[in-house]
Amino acid sequence: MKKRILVVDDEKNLRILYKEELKEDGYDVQVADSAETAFKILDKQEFDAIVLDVQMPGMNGLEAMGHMLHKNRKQAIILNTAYSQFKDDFESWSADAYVVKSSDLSELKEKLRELVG
Amino acid sequence: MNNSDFKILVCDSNSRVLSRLRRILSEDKFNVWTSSDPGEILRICESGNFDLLILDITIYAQLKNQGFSIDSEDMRAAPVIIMTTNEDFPLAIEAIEDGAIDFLDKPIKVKRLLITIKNTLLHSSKLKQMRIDQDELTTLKELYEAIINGIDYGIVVLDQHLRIESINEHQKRKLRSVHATVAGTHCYRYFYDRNTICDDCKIKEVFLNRTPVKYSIVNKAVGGLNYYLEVEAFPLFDKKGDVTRVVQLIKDVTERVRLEKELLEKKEYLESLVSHAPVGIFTADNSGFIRTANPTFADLLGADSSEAVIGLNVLESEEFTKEGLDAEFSLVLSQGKHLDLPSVHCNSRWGKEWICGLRCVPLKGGEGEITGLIATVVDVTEKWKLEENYRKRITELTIFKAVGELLQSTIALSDIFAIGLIGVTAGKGLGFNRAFLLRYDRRNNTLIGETAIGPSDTAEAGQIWTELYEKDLSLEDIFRNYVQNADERDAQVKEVVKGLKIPITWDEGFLHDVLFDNIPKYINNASKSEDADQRLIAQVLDSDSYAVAPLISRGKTEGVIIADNLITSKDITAEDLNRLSIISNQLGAAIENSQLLQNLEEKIGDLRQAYLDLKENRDLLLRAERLSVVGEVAASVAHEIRNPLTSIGGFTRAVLRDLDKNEKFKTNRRFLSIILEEVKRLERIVNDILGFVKPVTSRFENRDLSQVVEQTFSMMAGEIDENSIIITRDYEENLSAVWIDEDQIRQVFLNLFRNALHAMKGGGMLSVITKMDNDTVKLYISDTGVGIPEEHKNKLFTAFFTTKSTGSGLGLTVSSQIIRNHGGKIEVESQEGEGTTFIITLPLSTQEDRYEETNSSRGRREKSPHSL
Repeated sequence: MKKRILVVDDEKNLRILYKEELKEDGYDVQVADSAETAFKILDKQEFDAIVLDVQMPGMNGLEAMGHMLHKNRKQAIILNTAYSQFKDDFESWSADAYVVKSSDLSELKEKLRELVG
Repeated sequence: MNNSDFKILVCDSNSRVLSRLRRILSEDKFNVWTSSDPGEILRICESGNFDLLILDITIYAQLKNQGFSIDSEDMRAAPVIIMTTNEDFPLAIEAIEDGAIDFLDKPIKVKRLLITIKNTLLHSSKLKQMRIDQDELTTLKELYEAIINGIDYGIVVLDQHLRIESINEHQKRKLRSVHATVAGTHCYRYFYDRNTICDDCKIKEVFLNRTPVKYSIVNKAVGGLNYYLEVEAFPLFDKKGDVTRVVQLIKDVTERVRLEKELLEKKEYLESLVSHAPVGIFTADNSGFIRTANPTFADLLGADSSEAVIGLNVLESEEFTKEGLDAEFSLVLSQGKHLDLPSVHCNSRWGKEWICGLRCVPLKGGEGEITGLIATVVDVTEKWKLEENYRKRITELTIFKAVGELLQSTIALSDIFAIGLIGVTAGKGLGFNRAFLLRYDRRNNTLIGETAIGPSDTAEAGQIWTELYEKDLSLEDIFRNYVQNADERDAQVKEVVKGLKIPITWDEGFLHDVLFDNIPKYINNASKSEDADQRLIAQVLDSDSYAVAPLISRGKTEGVIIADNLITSKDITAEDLNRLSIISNQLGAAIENSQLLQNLEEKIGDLRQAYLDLKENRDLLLRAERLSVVGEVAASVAHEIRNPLTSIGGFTRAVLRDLDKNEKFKTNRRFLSIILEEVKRLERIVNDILGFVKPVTSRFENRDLSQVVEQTFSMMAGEIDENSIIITRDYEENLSAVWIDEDQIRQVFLNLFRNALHAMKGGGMLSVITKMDNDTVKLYISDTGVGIPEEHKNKLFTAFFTTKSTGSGLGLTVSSQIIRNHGGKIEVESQEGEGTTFIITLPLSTQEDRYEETNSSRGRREKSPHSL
């Protein structure tokens, strides 16, 4: 059974990149363009990991993570952001991993392997 | 008198009578008028222009009916003769009664007519004369009465029995007497209310001696007041030459007597004032002879009484000439000068010195001519001495004040010394001749001459003091002059002062007292003194009298002022010393101020440096502020760039991966690889920027620094080989662990090593040395590269500064930020052309650090970094 991963990012091209790259690695990947969309998807399905952008229009990633953890504590949450500084925020500590965005997805992939296999 | 001088008016209704009478009277040369008209007659009568009227009785009757009367005022001048007939007799009687002089019976007989006319005219002229005489008498009587009653004298006429015969109005009304006036009253009763004649009766004397007598009477007035009468009694002689009456002329002199009395009293009062006055007063005549003098003046002159000084001459007598006052008095007498000499120094009195205040004004006669002089003389010796004392005190205080003010205007010691010494010596100052300032050399226990002021000899002194006096220079002027000509002046005393070296050899004595017990001292006849110090100073100064006062600053004796009177040879007094020590106290305080101020200036210098440092720090802070703004902008830009970069790089990698399998797209693969490299470079820049703005969370651990260095070397192995770099290491043994974020420190080493490599393009040596230094570890990273130009050193750690074409300009900024976050510092030493050494100092791990490590949980390894 393929591990299911939800990627939430407001950047369309990044959504395509993550979907392609993670599929390549053998994951079942779904994408959402905002936290709100992600909630709708999460209402219907469960995922093994959620890759969450922090800086998004509407609800930001940190807030969204709060809601998600409230609903389902089993899924892994990886914060994926251009801002390294969110690492310093207490809120981000509840994330399972924190990845600084890079064109080299190896770190993200590594964390995913650590967390979901 | 001729008949023709008489005008006769004849009136009758019968013209024949008229012409007959005219003819008769004209023959006798009378001036005749005739008239028969009663109206005309009345008009002529009113004019009165005739001497006789001959009137017919019938016309008289007619006229009388018309109101005419002979006795009337109009007719008085001329007598009237009535011509009548027998039948008219009663009417004729009436006319006589009415004032007619005579009457003539008709027919008129010539002889009878002429006689009657003559008698009438004669009678008439006598009557006229009598009337005139009587009028004159009446006038005279009135005049005399007016005189007698009008004059201010009482007049009483006495008969031989001393009874009052008559008395004038003035006597009756104005001169009151005890007794009512009754003619026939005896004069003694009238005047004195006596019943018998007075013992010293003056009137009797007049009767006997027949000569006037003057005497005075004091009478009790009704109100009880005395009033004074002056009486002159004259004899009145009858035709035989006997004295029948005496007239008393009485004058009331009460007011005059009263005034005279007052005047007398005033005079006596004034005289007693003058003679008892505490002021000497005298008058002299216009030849200078003293005419009057009060006892005080006599006393002042040393004479026994006023009489003894009267007769002295203010122009000639020794008492005045000796003091030079004769010339002054001469001016008073010759020119009317007013003298006001407040302090004349006199020797006259008992050969003793005293000071006299003299005022003198000329005395003038009725026509303004100078008749003499009057002068007052006061002994003002005590007052003068007191004033002199005040003057002295004021002068002194003025000097002290001037010295004080001058001293405040400077902190230069040489000026302070000069001001003090000028204060001591200047004519306006305390008036010592010379003043020397000696500093106390504590180490050698010696007084050493510092500076001096004073003339070298009498001639120079005279010249200088005259100049000072004439120019009336203030202390400040003198000081300014002195400063301008400091080098030329006082050469001789300066020479003396150079030679002044007085060792303090005695544990007691003169100088010891001055220096260590702060007691100012003075000495006269020093060369004969038993005290060696005193003799020594006398010898050096060549002066037998001098005063010494200590200069005390901050409680320590810094030196002494010595002042002497070499030129004037005046003895020095306790007062002089007192004044000298006041100046020396002022000087001491000024020296203290000067020292304090100098200290203060040093402190101000320190503070200024501290301020500059602070300002620099503030500039640094400001720069950091600016950086944070720049950083924020950069960060948001970086963020915006990162997302597209991520997708560009990501897709490039994906495409490359796919192309790897296909040899056909070799060229495309190379191009894509280039794109990927460039993306990586951009991502590095973005990372640097974001890292600089907010470094990634530190993970602190106790680490061995040398290990981190080695790891970095191995990471860079390729680059190091490529650039032919030799690595040398010198790690301190047993180097303690350092509490660091390994990743960050590695980043620092990477940056520094890359810079080193960049500086050694043609190869070189990179050496790393670690050293323990107290509780820090020092890391020296040296290269043999081109070095850093001096002008770049300051900007080295500034953000965005770079000399590399490919650098972000953030490497060193981030590095220094990381080291600072570790509580350390980074410094650079560089020699252009020889190489650069970066020195990193990091604190060694503390107990707390180790505790922190053992307690940190796996999930919470992060520790907040030091904020930027």
